[in-house]
Amino acid sequence: MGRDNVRSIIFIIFGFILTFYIFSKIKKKILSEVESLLWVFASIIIILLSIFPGILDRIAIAIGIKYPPALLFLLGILILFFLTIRQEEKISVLNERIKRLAQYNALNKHEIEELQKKLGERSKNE
Amino acid sequence: MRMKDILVIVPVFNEEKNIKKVIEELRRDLQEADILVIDDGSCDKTLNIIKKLNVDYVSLPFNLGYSAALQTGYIYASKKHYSYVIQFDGDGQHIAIEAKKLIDYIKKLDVDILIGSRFRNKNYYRHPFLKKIGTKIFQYIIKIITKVDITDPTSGFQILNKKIISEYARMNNFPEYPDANLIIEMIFKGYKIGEISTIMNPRKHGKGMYSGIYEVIKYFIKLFNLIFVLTLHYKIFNGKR
Repeated sequence: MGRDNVRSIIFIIFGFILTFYIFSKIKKKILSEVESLLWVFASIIIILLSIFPGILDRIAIAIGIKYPPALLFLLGILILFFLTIRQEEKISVLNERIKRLAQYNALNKHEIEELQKKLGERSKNE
Repeated sequence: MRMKDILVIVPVFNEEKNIKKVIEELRRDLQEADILVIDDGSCDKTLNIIKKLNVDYVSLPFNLGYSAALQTGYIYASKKHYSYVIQFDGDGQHIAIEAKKLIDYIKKLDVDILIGSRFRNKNYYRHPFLKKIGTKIFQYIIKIITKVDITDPTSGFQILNKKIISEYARMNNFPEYPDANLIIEMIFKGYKIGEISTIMNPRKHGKGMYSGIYEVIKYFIKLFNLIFVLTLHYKIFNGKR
């Protein structure tokens, strides 16, 4: 019983530290609005689970998972998976934008050179 | 200087050994077209050579890859209102005189895209076995889905008309490997694609084993993308019916 209490307190402290960490990032506007909401949601779950670890055990057994921590790992992996896919989406969008910028940069340079040539010819003729 | 009706776009990346020959050949044998070299962020002497040759060029700030470099050419051609664009490789594989055939036949056959195929005339072009299988697979898939027979779907030797130029210039997420799936997509969009037999110089050998595996991986990626694009479009197609 005593060990369980110590463990619970440690996890609760971790839960709050993580929550404060996330909130500080949100405050500094490092995370976007949508991301912030997701992370707040995540920190609430983490705190709940750390205060009531029994929830996890009960859900796990109800689903049929014999080793409750496995449920935690599974959820963690699924969430990371989801986040990774979202990041990939964002990277694709960024890549497309960078590509467009590079293309237009090259075309603009070309136009500038053409204009410079024309200006050069005009001043020669004058 | 009066602008011609046709633009040859030559995307190059580190082709200091070949670019001079290619440009001289184009100037000599394809005088009906303006030339635009697209330097795809080369880090060797390519850009210096291009400048010395006094050929029209566009220089990308860093390497974007073959298809993005091509797209830069399409944007240029679209802005300047060219009627036709010919894609011409800067490594010396394509032959300028053969490009004249492309120009003749796109008008004769009344198609939007005309591909110059290495394989229509059987047996003259030596193709590594694995690549042959890959090409055949794509040819088969294209034929089943669209009933159009393209014997060389990965050939970069093509001529495109104004409609295609503008479509490609605008296209977001222009495919990195623009062959079979792009062909099918354009057919689904209602464009006409034709193919004629042309001669090309044999490709210079790559780096042996490394190049072989890399090509195989590329083919798998293309195949996967192809099937993906197909299922998407097939649903839309079915929906319209």
